[in-house]
Amino acid sequence: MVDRGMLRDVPFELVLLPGENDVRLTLELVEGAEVLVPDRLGNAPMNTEVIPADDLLDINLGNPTQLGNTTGWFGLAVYSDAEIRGAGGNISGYPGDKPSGTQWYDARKIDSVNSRKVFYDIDTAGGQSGSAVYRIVNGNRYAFAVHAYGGASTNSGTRIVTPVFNNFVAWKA
Amino acid sequence: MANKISGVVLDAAGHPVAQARVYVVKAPGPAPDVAVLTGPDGRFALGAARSGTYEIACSTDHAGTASATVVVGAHDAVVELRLS
Repeated sequence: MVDRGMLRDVPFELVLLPGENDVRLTLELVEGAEVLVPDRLGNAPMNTEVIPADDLLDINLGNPTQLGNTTGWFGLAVYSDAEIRGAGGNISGYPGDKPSGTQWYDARKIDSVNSRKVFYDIDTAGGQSGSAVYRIVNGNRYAFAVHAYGGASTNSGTRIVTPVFNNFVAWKA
Repeated sequence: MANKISGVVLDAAGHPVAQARVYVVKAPGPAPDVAVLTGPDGRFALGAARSGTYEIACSTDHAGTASATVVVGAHDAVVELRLS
């Protein structure tokens, strides 16, 4: 995940390793991807501490790709408070305290939810920001939040509410 | 006030270590769950939005680990992480 300062101050290049888990799932690397940031986040003063509604970004792979046929696909969904509270949350990602390029997973109940954030004690570590917080419905995985913060007693992610969902759809187009 | 924790990661012999993963373990409040990689000179910078005491750690695949406690106040914090 990138620090917000990087988005303005330093040109950088992304190299993505799709689906890596100790060994690479695919040899296809994605270089030169474009980073898309919600307008309000990109224009916010740097001393703005948190902008929960916009606290996410998108990495656009550019050319159409069929990588998902190898790595699998995530769905996105907007769920009600009750549906999220009753759901188990799953996170899979790349914690910085584990060997590089190894994917780790945890699942627990969701603690609470508000209009913009989802709170849980799913185990995470630095480096997992940006991972989907997802539930499994009929064997399909649907993200309802994007993991963002670690805390002493709870972790949290940016909730996929309708404006966030629409943003993702617009970016994907 | 948005500050940062910056520093350098060194191996046991005092040489800078590139591609080390540096991340926040404890913070005064919720903190972005990010990890940064050190540059070729072993240097890194992490955002620290809140003033207070942070515990940061560093992991590498072959050169060991390190951790440190730093205080972020009105100014940025600077730290040296020595791997063992």
